[in-house]
This record gives sequence, C-alpha cells and structure tokens, in this order.
Amino acid sequence: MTESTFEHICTILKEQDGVTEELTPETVLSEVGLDSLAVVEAVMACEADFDIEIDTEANPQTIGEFVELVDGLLEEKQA
Amino acid sequence: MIHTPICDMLGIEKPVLQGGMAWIADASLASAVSNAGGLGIISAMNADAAWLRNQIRSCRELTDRPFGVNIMLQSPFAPEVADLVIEERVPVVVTGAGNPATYMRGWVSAGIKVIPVVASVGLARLMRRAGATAVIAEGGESGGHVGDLTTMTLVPQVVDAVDLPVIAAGGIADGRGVAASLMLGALGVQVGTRFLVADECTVSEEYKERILKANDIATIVTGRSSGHAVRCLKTPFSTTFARLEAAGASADELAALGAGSLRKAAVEGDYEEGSFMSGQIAGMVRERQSAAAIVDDLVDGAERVLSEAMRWVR
Repeated sequence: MTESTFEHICTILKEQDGVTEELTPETVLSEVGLDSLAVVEAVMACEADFDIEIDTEANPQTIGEFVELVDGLLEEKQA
Repeated sequence: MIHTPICDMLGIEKPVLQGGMAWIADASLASAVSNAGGLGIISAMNADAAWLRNQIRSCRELTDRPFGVNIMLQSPFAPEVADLVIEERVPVVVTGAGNPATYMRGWVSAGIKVIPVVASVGLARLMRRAGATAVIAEGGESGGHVGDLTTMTLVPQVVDAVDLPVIAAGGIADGRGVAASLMLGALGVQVGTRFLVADECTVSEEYKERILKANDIATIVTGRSSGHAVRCLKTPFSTTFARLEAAGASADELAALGAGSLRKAAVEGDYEEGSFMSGQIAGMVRERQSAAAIVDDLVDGAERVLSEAMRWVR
C-alpha cells in the first residue's frame, strides 16, 4: 500500500463527502457515514484522477481495501 | 401518439413504466399496466423465489406482453431471486436500493434488459459500464426509498453523463410531468403513486383512501439518520418514527419499529401501525381508474402539453 494512494483517497472522501473523522486503512467506510452511493462516487473520482477503470463489481468495505484496489490497477497499468 | 426509443427497446407501445412498489406491485397490477401498453413491473420485495415464481407465472397468464421484475438489492433473497429471473426468462429487470453490479453479468448474458434505478450520476455511469440497457433516474419526490436529489436536478445531469436512455421517476402523475420529463431529456417515465389507486391494484382500501385524501404536504421522509431514507404519508406510525429518530433512537431500535410496517399498511390497511409509502405527488392523485385509463391519461396529457409547447417561442 503506498502512502500517496491512501492520502489521495482520504482527500477525496474529505472533500467530496465532508468526512471529518480520522481515517486509517482499517476505517470501515459505512462507519464514517459513507453509503453505497458515496462509495460509488469516490470510486468514480479515483478513476478520473488515476486514469484507471475499476471493476463495476468492486465493493470495498474499508479504506485499506479501497487503496489496494486502486494500487492493484495502478500496478497493472504500469506493467 | 408519443413513441420514443424506449418503446422499441422494451417492446411496449407507450413509454410508461409502473413502479415496482413492494407489497403493492403484484401480477394483477403489472399485467394490467402491460396490457394497457406500458411496462408493468412486479416487485420481488423481500419475498423468496417461490413467491416470485408464482407471481411471474400468473402475470404470464394475464398478459402476453412484456413485463418486468423489480429486485430490491437489500432483500435477503436477492441472490435466489436474481437467479430465478434468468430461469423464468423475465424480459426486464429493474433494480432498486443499491448497486446491482454483482448480478449484472448474469442478467446481461441471459439477454435480460436491465434497468437500474439510480439516484446519482456516478451510479448511472457505473451501470452503463456494467451493461445496463437504460437507467431510471429517480428523484427524492418519489415514495419509498429515496435519494437526496430531485427529479428536476437529477434527470438532466444523468442524461448528460451517460449515452443510455434515461427514464425519469419521482413526482410524475399526469401528462405535464411526462412532458416535462421528455423535455429534461428522458425517453420515458416510471410512475408509482398514481398506480396505487388503479382498479387492478390489490393494495388495501385504507391505503387507496389515504392516497386519494393526501394533499401536497402529506408526506414525510424518515430514516435519514440511519442511511435508509423513506418517504411515506404522515400517519401515526411515521410521525412516531420521526419523533424517536429526532430523539436519537438507535438504528436497531428504528429498524425494529419499521419491521413489517409496510405490510401492515398495504395488506392489512392498519392506519395506526402501517407505513403508507407515497410520493409527494399524491396530492394530485384524486381518482380511482383502471390502469389503462391512467396510462392513456399520462400519454394523451403529455401529447396535449407538448403540442402547445411552442406557444412561448418567438
């Protein structure tokens, strides 16, 4: 997990959804007020920012899972 | 006559879909709307596959026209119901209450036309990529589970964001609403509340009377605090729910209070304890009619409005 992806996702969640809680990789998205629509919006924002395409079936539950998802795609892209 | 690409896509005559209202939209109502030239939709609600199979089969006995099934993704039976619609070759699946991506591949490869209800642009984009045939952009004016955006703001933004046919829903109950939806870029409408009082709708008499008596400010949204916002008529149940919610009741307490309340309204007509889900447009629903008369009035009304639309253009 790279720090930059984690930070970027935290920024998206703070700016787009007004999340004020301290975020860690273990943070459960639904526990900081992010419903499925908010997660979809965050996924779409990541796609645009990182120029990747996330699987439509992806359903990350924690910030850590979200970061792994994005990092996995970034690695694929570079390979 | 109003004919849009949605009609050809779904094999229907008129671009009117009937909302898949849980405990309300059964084979009786769905077949009547399909026979009227629209698309009737059976709600799979929280029922199991055996119940839904019966409904699908009785719908087929009542109509030979296309119909759909609305799958509520939060239902504990969603996985088995998702398989059943493939097995039964249901022509159209509408999804509500969440992200249906997990099931999309199976449905699309079975040739089912999938039309997810979306409450945001992001979900509409995701559904387009997952293989949706069209999307229903449903504003928070609607009854039942609601999102934050209104139909007026959501529909044009979804139309701009995805190159899919968009069906407008939420706050539509007459020809003016249909015409306005087409002007916002939608190619069809989904209507729920007005069909509640259709002759073929098997919902309780109490429910129908409450809709007919409702005025413009008769509804309330509860459950926002737990992320399950629901619009229903102001009744003893919903006002109690709202009061407890405001007083900080836990999500579990609220869920326990809400359990079974829609069934109490729809089946038992229990005014005290029932949850009478309804759209804001209930105030305009004044008359019991056949489903066919409702479909005709929506489409003919839209035609009248649209034919006069050039009046202000100089």
